Amino acid sequence: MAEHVILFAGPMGAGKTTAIRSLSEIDVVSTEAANTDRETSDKATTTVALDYGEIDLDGLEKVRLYGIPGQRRFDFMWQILKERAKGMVLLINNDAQHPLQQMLEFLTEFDDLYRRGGVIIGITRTDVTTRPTVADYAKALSAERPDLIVPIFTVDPRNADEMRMVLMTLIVNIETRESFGPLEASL
Amino acid sequence: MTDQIAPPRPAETLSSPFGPGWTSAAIAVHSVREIATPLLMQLDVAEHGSIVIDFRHHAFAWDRAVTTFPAAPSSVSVYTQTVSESTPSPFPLPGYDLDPLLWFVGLNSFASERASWLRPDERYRLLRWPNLTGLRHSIDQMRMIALLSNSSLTPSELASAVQTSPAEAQRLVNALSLMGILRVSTDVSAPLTRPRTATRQESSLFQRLRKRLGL
Repeated sequence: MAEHVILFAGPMGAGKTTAIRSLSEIDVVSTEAANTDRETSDKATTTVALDYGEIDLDGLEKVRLYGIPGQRRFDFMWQILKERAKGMVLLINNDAQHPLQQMLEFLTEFDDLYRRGGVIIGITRTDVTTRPTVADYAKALSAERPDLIVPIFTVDPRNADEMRMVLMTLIVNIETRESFGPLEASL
Repeated sequence: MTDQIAPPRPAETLSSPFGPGWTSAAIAVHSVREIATPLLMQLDVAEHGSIVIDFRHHAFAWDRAVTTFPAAPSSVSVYTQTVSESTPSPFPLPGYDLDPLLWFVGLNSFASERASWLRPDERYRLLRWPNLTGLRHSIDQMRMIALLSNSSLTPSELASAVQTSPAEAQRLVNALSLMGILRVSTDVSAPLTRPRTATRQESSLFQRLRKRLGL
């Protein structure tokens, strides 16, 4: 069976679990536990291992959706999963402390995916605070990595239509980038 | 509540030789963005009230739902007013994000021909992706935007790559250009970056997922 692994990454409280629930055709397997870091996020529970959901394409092919823990103490899991991943949805909650910096840190961690067009950024909780804007995120990204153009959308993880559109954009960008070949490091 | 722009002096009123539709508004908006001067703009749209744009805040106000822009209004009158950076906005901020309005106006002006500020034989490449969750768009437009994020293309090259009409590709380029998110290459001798491998559309994961999700 053909498999396509899509990761959902981002800081705690960005909406990774909710996003997978919006997309998955099966009941999402979530492993959550009490959050002991209420200063960073006011969520009562947080993902400590994995969330898992899937979309079955034709009985012979699946898109597997993995939500990976946001805290750095679990980054050993990032390494395992990113080697299998076709792409990644990076969710950043706009009301987080230093959201631009958080975006750049995650992109550094997932540089391989980033370079082959396998990353899309979803800015969540823009209903709570409207700044930074999408243009601010794009500017920060361009200053750090002028060679790459990454889709950056505002998104509500509870909205299935929006999450489908995010997933479709990720896939079309990956396939378009693949058709042009890998980017050279000197670009 | 949105304040109307003070009655414009004649010199600040842009006449429209372009007849009905959004073309005069597109030209006016592009001109204002080119000079990068603090300005307010009011678009009086026949039977649809007034749209007030504050370019300083990349925002606009309208007393109707933004999903109800008329595609072909019988007339659009354009007024501008110079302000200082410290002049309060005529409407409560943040207002509506300006990008969806520019996207809509760009798509629905110039009768799908090349926008007046663009030139033949130019190639275009994306500076940043538009925020597609905030814009009504088609799957073909999404595919064309993905191409423009990876290569510099003319509208005809773009149309050929996604097998759509040149007019559809031109509409997209007009809109992205009006939004100010295209880089223009005027060096026609520059080598065209072509896909190294042609993606067979019917066999792509994108198409299979599209079919599965009913899009």
